[in-house]
Amino acid sequence: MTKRALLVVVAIGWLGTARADDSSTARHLMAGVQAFKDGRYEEALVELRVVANAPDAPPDLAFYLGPTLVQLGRDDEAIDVFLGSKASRDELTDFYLGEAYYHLKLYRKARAVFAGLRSRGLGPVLEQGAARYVASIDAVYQQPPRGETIDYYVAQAHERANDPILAAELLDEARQVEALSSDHRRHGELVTALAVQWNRIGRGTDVIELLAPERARPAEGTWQLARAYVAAHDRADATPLLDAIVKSRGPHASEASALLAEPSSP
Amino acid sequence: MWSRVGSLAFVAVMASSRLVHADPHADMAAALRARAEVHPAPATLPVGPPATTRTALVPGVSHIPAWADLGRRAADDAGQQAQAQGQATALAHRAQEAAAAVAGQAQANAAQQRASHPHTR
Repeated sequence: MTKRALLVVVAIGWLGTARADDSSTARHLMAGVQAFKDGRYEEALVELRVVANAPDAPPDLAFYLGPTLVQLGRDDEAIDVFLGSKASRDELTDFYLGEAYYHLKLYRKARAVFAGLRSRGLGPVLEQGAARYVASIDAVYQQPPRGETIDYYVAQAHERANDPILAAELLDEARQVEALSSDHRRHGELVTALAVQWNRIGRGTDVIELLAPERARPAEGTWQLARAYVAAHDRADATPLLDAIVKSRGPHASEASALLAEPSSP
Repeated sequence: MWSRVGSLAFVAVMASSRLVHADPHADMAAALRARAEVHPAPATLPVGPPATTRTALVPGVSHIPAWADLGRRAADDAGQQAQAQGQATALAHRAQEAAAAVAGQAQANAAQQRASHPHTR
């Protein structure tokens, strides 16, 4: 009886194991992790792409895929993966996000990430690494940045117009650099362009935070703010802006009129 | 016999179940820590083409700053050109004065020579 019972246990265990082994997604994920550990990043990427396309891909795939792309020098794709992920980011993911920003010379963005990481229990090696990144960035911002640096980020945003996540990051960098410069004449242009990109990628809350406190908004900025309020179902704040746009008979007057005519969401 | 087979099977199942229950997240975390870049290359601020050479960032928005940039740069260029022109004019004046001085000196020398040697004529 004891032997039979043991056989039953063994059989159940084996069946369970076989079923788990049949999950090809898990196998590809483990293969990807193993390839990353061995420094075979191209192979890791192939395995993780398979995982990404699987219906049972883990929600924290960015934790694996993002750093692999960073190691391959594909920092722009890595940023898309990190920022597009719905999973909450942990310290290690953020460290690699900071690296990707730094490689792309998005130094203000990188600095914010690394400065935030220094008190989050990374351990001494990574904490010192984060401190080095912050120091390196601070060294180049001892003097106010020049207009040509802002021009660089704006030109890059133009080139990456088909990648709205990265284009928004570049414009946000330009905005932050402009805030440190001694010439603020491009502020209105930069915040409005950033609002356009953020509305494109569904970051209406950030648009409201960005544009609502602005005292002098360009007409396009008012339109972007109105759109963000509408997306947030905030009719009370959207309506006066939309009214003003309609009255101005500007380029968005007909769209504003259509939004005003829409029934309010519950 | 049975107990030996059972034991072996049990060990095999445990070993394989350990494989199945390997924690990819923990493995990856260890690898990420080991391979993180903790000694960054020095940062260098990038520079790009001037704002006047690009197209509008946002239609109807960037025109004003872009034209303002254009005006500012044109004024800077004109100022530099005027400054250079002024410097060139001053140099020309100085050259003219120097040439006149040299010519005057030559004339004076010739007159002095004629005065001291009237018979040579």
